[in-house]
Amino acid sequence: MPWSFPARLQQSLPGPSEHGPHFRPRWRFGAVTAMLLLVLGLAVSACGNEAETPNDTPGSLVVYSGRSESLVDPIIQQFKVASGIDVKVRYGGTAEMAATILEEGENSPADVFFAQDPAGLGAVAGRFAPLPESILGTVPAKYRSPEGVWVGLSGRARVTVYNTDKLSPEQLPDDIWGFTDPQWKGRIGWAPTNGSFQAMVTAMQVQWGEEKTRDWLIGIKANEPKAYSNNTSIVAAVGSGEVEVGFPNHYYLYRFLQEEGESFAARNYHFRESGPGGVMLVAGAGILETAPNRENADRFLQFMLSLVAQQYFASQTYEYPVIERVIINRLLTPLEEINAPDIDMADLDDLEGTLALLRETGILP
Amino acid sequence: MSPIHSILGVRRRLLARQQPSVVIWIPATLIGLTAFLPLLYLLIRTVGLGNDAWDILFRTRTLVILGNTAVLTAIVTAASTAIAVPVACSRYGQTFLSDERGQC
Amino acid sequence: MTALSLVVPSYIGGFVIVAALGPRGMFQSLLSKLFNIEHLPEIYGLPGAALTLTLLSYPYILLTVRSALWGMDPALEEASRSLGYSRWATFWKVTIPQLRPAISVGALLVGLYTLSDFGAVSLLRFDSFTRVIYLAYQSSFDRGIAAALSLLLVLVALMLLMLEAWTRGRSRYYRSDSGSPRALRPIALGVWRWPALAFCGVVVILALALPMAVLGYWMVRGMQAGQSLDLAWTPMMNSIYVSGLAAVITVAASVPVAVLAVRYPSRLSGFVERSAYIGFALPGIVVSLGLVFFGVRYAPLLYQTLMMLVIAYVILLLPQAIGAVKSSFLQVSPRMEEAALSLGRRPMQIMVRVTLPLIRTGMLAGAGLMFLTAMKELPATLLLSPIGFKTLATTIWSATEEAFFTRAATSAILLVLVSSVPMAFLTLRESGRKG
Repeated sequence: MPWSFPARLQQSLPGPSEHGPHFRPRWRFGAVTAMLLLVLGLAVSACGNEAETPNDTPGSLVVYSGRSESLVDPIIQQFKVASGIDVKVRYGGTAEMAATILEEGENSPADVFFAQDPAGLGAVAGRFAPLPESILGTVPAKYRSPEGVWVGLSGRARVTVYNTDKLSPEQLPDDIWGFTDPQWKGRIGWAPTNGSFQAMVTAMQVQWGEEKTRDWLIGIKANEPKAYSNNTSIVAAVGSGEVEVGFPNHYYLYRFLQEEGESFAARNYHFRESGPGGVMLVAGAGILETAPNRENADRFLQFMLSLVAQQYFASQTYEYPVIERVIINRLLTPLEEINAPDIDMADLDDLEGTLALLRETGILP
Repeated sequence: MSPIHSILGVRRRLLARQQPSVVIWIPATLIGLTAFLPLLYLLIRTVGLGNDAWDILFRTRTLVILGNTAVLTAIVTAASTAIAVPVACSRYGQTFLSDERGQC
Repeated sequence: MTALSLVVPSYIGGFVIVAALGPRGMFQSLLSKLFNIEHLPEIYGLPGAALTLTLLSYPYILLTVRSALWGMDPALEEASRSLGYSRWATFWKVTIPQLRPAISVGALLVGLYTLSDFGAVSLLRFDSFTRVIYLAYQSSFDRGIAAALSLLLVLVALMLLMLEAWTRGRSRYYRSDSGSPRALRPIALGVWRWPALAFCGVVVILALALPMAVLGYWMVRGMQAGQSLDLAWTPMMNSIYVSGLAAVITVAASVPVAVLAVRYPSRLSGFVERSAYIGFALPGIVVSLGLVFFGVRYAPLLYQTLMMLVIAYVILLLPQAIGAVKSSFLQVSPRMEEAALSLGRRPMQIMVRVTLPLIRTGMLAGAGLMFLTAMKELPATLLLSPIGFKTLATTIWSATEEAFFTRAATSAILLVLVSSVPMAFLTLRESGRKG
């Protein structure tokens, strides 16, 4: 025998292999190649389908949404049915979607950018087209961009959430400044990387000025707060008693109540005094200047500001409406009682100062 | 050395000197270029950077984070090896875990 | 079983670790009921991040080592034993050195994965590079700073690559001579069986049972609170389809790269291999935005199609396949190919008839790995998939984003179950060869 086949080779063959490896792998490899070609063919045909855009009368609309699908999809489906427009939505984080729009530049296939917070809208403001008066006029001036390029579609209030086993509302301070008191040491949870938190810090600078805002940040930092990655984690931590109070947006609590029932040991507290700690932020949208379907985009925003859509936000996603005559969810604290300060969203769309402050105080890396 | 081995020895040198065949290096280069795209993108983005950005980059904080990352990577790699190698070997009964008689 | 934790996405793994081991977590409340223990060691920061990432990524080494073990020739160990070495000495002097390429390739994957991961470090609050890069995108939308930081990360990754090349050295790992065909024999573990089993048990409990238990708990709790249980069938089919496609294409792409790297080491092969590894070390968001940048400008027809997504997966995950293919290729003696050459076969024929069958184990392991990790990939799926294309990973993400745990848990369980199919296949096939 000139040479025999090593173990590995024979192992790789089915059954006894007296006649050597040369003839066996042929059909195998043929089969693998055929499969590969088939899969590739499928992929190409699938791509073909994806690339086709139907050119029917109502046309289509492409929305990039930084808001979560579970929250906005029902109302977008309603718009789809009502208008006959083929709405396609790409979901992602607000920051990722904003970065994508900026990277896409003029080639962007997007018509509308639906963002979670004013900072996200501010980041792409340079790519937005002016909105018509029919849309801008619907929304109070403080909830839209002064250049008229984006509008707020729903409001979310900043609140304090507290653990009901350990605290009662009477023990909580009148405004957010009160949490700099050393008695709160080790009891606070916050999310300094979160967009809404940063918007609140911007609101502080608008209302209090830079000095006091810095003092607040230093004061809270001295109380050794636990830093969480987002609002959801804060509410979860307060509910479990990991921390006693936290600063999230108001609506996260209701998700937990929905999931865990009334026994969930956390509730919202709206400050007794009006201040930046209770600022009302908006989620909003704008239309890109390169929008391929401008008319449909206008109709989309008009629909989102209609009574139907606003009622949806107020009752289904536990948010505050931006237009009048809407009945809010019975679980929500009425708008008049949350003591939100009067702050323009437009003042909150520039984050640079806030970020510099957060870095300077060592809160952000 | 048997004749067959000496022939193989010659062939081996032949193989080593041979350039990789077209069916290997063309796809490999294409794949390499595609994989290079993200890096190219980063270079394009970094070139347009202002002075402030460089200040942020070269703070001591960045070094601390670099250190953090190195420590995390080292720990995770070492711990993973420590878990994975014994699990892989013991599950499939390598010789070092064979029974008293060591029959293998 | 032991390799299955690889399918758990880090954003779920991190969440679960916090829910289970965090202060006031499930484990702590159990302990306080049983033993009245009120405080656990701090989980946030380095310990938690390291624990999570280790549990999620050790299967990289497990899989490469396992596939190398099956390709290994027992004759070497037998020779060592017959020369009077003890079992332990044999293990350290013969087995481990043989496994070295597999270990170092696996360890490289673990290291690079740790560099690129965002979910775990963010949930466990550890300031690593990825977290800072994400923050740069998230809070200032400053793509320049994020890019510059990412370049620093690339430098770190290159250092890791050099380290790996250095540990591997210039050794050969194939047999120099032909031997008689032998299959590995299963060995009775004797008294060693129990510690071995216990060790596996602890690992499986931490890495797999724990996440599954927490997910199951969320699901049950949600159902009790009256949540409806809607299973994500379409996303599941989408996940399977696109991950399968990515697995096949990536393994096909990894073969020429591995061949080039092992048989024809040169500048070109070095470049190709290194750039392939870079994509794996970078955070998904960076690679995805890079592809957005080029895709929308230079490949508008491909942009936001399934093919684009698959290309993104290939770039992000290629090294896993290269690692698996390469480590099994390193054990193939070039003499096999030379023999075929001497018998008058052309290089292409040799490739198809000799080399590919020999590295089949590696290719299958690579495809399995690719499938599992493509299933859980998130940033590229969000940014580059065809619009409206939902996978299990995006479903889980959007549910956790808004604290819908029940929905997240059902999809996550589905993800683990689906991913366990190819894993079971790989394991069973290997066991089947034992006899």
